[in-house]
Amino acid sequence: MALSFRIQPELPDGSAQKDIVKRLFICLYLLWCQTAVAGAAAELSPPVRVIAHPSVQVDALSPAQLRSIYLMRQVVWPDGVAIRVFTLAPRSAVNLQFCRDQLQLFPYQLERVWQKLTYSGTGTPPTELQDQQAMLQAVATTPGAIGYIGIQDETQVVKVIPIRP
Amino acid sequence: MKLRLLKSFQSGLSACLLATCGLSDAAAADNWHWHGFVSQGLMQASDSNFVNDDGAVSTELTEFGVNGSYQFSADLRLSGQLMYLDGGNRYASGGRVDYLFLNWTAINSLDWQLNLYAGRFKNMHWLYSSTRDVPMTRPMIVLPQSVYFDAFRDIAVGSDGIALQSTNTTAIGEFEWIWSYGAIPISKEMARRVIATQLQGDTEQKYVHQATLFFRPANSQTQWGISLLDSGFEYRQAQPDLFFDGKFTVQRVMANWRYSAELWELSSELMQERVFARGFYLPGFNRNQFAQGAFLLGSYNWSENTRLYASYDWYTANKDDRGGALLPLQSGGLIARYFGYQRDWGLGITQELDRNLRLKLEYHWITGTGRLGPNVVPAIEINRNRQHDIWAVQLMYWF
Repeated sequence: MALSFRIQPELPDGSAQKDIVKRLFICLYLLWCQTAVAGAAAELSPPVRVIAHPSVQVDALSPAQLRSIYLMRQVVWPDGVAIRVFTLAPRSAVNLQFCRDQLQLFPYQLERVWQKLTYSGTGTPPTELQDQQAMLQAVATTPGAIGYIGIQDETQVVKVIPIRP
Repeated sequence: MKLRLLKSFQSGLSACLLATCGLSDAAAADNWHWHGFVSQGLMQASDSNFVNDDGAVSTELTEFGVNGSYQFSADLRLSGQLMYLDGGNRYASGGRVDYLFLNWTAINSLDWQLNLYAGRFKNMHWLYSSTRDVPMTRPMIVLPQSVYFDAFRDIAVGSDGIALQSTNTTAIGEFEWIWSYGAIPISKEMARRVIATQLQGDTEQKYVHQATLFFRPANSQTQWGISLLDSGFEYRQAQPDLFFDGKFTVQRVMANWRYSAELWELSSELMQERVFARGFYLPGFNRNQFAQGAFLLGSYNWSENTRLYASYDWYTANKDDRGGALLPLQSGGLIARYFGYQRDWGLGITQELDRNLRLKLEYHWITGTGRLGPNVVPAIEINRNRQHDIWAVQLMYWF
């Protein structure tokens, strides 16, 4: 949508101010529309899904349990198989959404915990992957693996784990 | 180029160790983890002995380390880290085994994890204690000295002993408790930095016993913690020596808090420390003194690659003499009042130059010299100014 603004050299007293106020309202309205559309788009973006290797014997996790796994405290599944945790780049959109919606943590908090574990010897950080295809492939082929993806159609090769409060 | 060399070094080191141990298959490689960091900085504390005695710009801000861990089984792991540190007068320079311990995961259910550590482990009880010597994990180059007193760093950074760490997830939030018992060997150089440069005898830490509880409420970005410390030291005089046989009991009560938002964060720690001295100055001498300290540290994410930091740190060596008025009276005028306290306003900026490559810059405006080493017999001949500043810049890379 394009707006054309013409200069009107001769206006009766007070008209110039009214015109400016009118234009200001139009600008604010357009800004509000843009924000509303962006907000709606964010709400409509597909949710990030937690995925695991098909052999994982867990059918659902609570948000706190998922957080324990991603904070590298929970290192084995209940059947004793070691958990292999995969992540995407910290600044990728899917990772940001996963941290915010599923873990209820900010990426910098996660990185701080992983660095603390790594350099105090009490744990190891997760394996970071390039993109969602790499994530899908790594989780599908690594026993005990857990990860997350934003794409919806290609989850046949992995197990989708619902996160239930 | 430098980063590539470091990557090659990491891969080479892993390959060598795997070959040495005769473990060359992929499964064995999965069980090894290698990481490290290198950092170098410049620092100046022109009107104090914080970095050096002459107040010149110093390169004594070097920290590098390499760590490795081997997972024997799902519940047993060995971890170790070698480090080299040079902080000028702040702590003893040279290489050291930062930690080397066995980690046994006794319980690992979805809602409860319990780990037992045996060997040399880091102090996990305070907000930044476990990685205070790892530059990229610190919020600032110089941590608040009220709690993280650098002259005491080598004694407080870890222990040889055993520790337990447990995390319980409940409906109201997450509880983490940590218990540890051990001691750390104290070299003469370490003792001189914290007690007195004239020290000739041997100092021994008999024990340090710590317990901490952290609570992170559900659906909250807040963390609360409380921590207790009890430690005993013994000094045996040499011949000749200015000091006598003595015993020190150091006890700390601490509380900490942290709130994390998307773009900013606040953290704070408060402590009260009791030091009970028997002997040492004179046979039969007794002194019981309570120090207090607290800091508030904030950070703000200015942009994707830039984070700003601000801190205020407050310390008093004697809660019953906050202004240090008794010091000149007790020392015949030798020790000025300002040795009884320290206040520090700090500002810092962190710039991410690349993935795992960071530059830090900071400035501190300090009043009082209560947290400059040595602590028991202060360096009155060097620290003649009540006001003294510190600036520091540090470049760090980690893998």
